Amino acid sequence: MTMNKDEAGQALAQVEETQRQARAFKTYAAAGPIFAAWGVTWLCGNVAYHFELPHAGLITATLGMVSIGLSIGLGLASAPANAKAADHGKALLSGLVFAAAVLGLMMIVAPLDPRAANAVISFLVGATYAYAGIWMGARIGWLGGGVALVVLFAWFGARDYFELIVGAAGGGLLIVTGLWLWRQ
Amino acid sequence: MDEIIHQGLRLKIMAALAATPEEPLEFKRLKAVTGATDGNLGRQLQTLAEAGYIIVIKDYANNRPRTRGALTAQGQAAFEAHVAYLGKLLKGL
Repeated sequence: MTMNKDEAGQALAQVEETQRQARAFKTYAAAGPIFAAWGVTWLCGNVAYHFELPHAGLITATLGMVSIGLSIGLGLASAPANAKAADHGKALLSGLVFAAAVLGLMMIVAPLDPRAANAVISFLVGATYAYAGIWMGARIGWLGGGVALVVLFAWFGARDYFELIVGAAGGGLLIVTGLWLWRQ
Repeated sequence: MDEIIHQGLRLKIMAALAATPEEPLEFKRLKAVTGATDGNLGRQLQTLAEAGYIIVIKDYANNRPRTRGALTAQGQAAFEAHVAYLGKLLKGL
């Protein structure tokens, strides 16, 4: 059997597309539980704030710390066995740079309203996922876009219920999508 | 040209396994990535395993049967040679 130039080109394109998808599915499976963990934090934290539960701040901070720990632990666990210490360092540095960027942004904007601070951070998280999805897999991008839209809708359309909507819809979206991606 | 890898679905299977060499791929994920049916995927995995290009690992995870595939060194070399052949063909060499 022989092949011509066009068939070879098609076969190579098929190889590239299949490899891109295989890597994306691996990323989905690794990122899924991290999204789900942050979804629980969003859900519980925001709902606690909406219903003005005592210690809502403490609940959110505790869940946030647990999610950070889970993100680091699951990230390290899903790294390839042959990953170098430098790769782990880069992943950790990426998280720190993002955290520093959020902190810097909050210092500049300095919102007096905690709800506005919540909106900025939540929108930034959604936008970051949407951006990351371009490189890491379309489903992460759609998740980020969905989260960002939920935040925008809650802020501009129903501000009195902002925390409830972001917690239930945004957090719920993160949990459901995270569990779905985990199973890929 | 490698006649075994040349077939469309087998090429996709080899490409997927080569993309994540650090871990065997589960049947479920291979199916999602290649878009194949259960029966066809099973048949082509068997053909590749008989050629010595992949190993099929059957075990249990969380008390559920699990089937995974991984490239062998022979399969990795064959895949790289086939891709190189395609590249040369594309460049008209």
